Amino acid sequence: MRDMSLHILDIAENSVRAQATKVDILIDEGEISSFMIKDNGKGMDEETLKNALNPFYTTKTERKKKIGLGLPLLKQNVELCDGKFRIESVPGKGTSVKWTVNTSHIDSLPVGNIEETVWILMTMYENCDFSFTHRAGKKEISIESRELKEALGTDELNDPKVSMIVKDYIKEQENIINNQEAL
Amino acid sequence: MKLEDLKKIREKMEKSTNLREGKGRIKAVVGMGTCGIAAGARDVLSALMDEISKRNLSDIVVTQSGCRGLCDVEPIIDVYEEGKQMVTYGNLTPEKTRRIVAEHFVNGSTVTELVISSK
Repeated sequence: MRDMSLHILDIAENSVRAQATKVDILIDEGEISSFMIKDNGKGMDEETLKNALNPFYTTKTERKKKIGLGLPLLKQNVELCDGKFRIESVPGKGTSVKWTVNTSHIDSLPVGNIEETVWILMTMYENCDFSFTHRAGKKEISIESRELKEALGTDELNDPKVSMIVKDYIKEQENIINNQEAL
Repeated sequence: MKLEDLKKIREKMEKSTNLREGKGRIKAVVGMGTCGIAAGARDVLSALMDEISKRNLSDIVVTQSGCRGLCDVEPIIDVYEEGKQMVTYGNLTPEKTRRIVAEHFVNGSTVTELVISSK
């Protein structure tokens, strides 16, 4: 993956597949940036958790080739830049994936286009609610897909028109984070 | 989230017309597994939604799926259309995706050169 936003999109899909109804995503940018994806899905037992970082393990039974690269790829990219990677899971409660990156390290991946990732997660996964918090320095934004659904009066955020309204809003919010103070 | 933001969003929604009705004439499924995402599926999905919204197409449903074993030809879109064969487009880019919307979804002719399989 080219950047963290693509990893987040990929890892959050695991949560949805684990029947999560709520996924919290947190990005805290700084010299050491930290990331978290936490869900209330079915969780993993010790054995599954141990295997989750093995690239030749997947729980997807429909697959002929037994490959699950999502988490191993992320862990590799985190460790390449002196970051820390941690995954915790409680069966029946949920799973959380946390990692940090040293942003001054030459191999550290940029955050990337996080607004696209958040937009796709919030609009394309109907049965799951997402909350997204993004901090950078003193700035902080927070977006809740449940609140968006209520404001829009529909759960079907994947309607192209509705989806574009959501996209504009997320973009607006991300601009608050990204706009540098005028010098 | 701020209340005034939510209010603005609600107003925008009230103004927007031509919302999707029913389950749609065409269902387009974008592969969003690890393989798809690594190959550029996010940009493809983004272009797909953008083009459908720009053209005011209210009879198309877009969803996503995990990896379905066609990793080598990702990004892919499966197109389901009532009374027709399912068509899988592969090796997509945002540009190719916009072409599919114009030629297949609007004009009704399959973009043969982008088809990976159909059944």
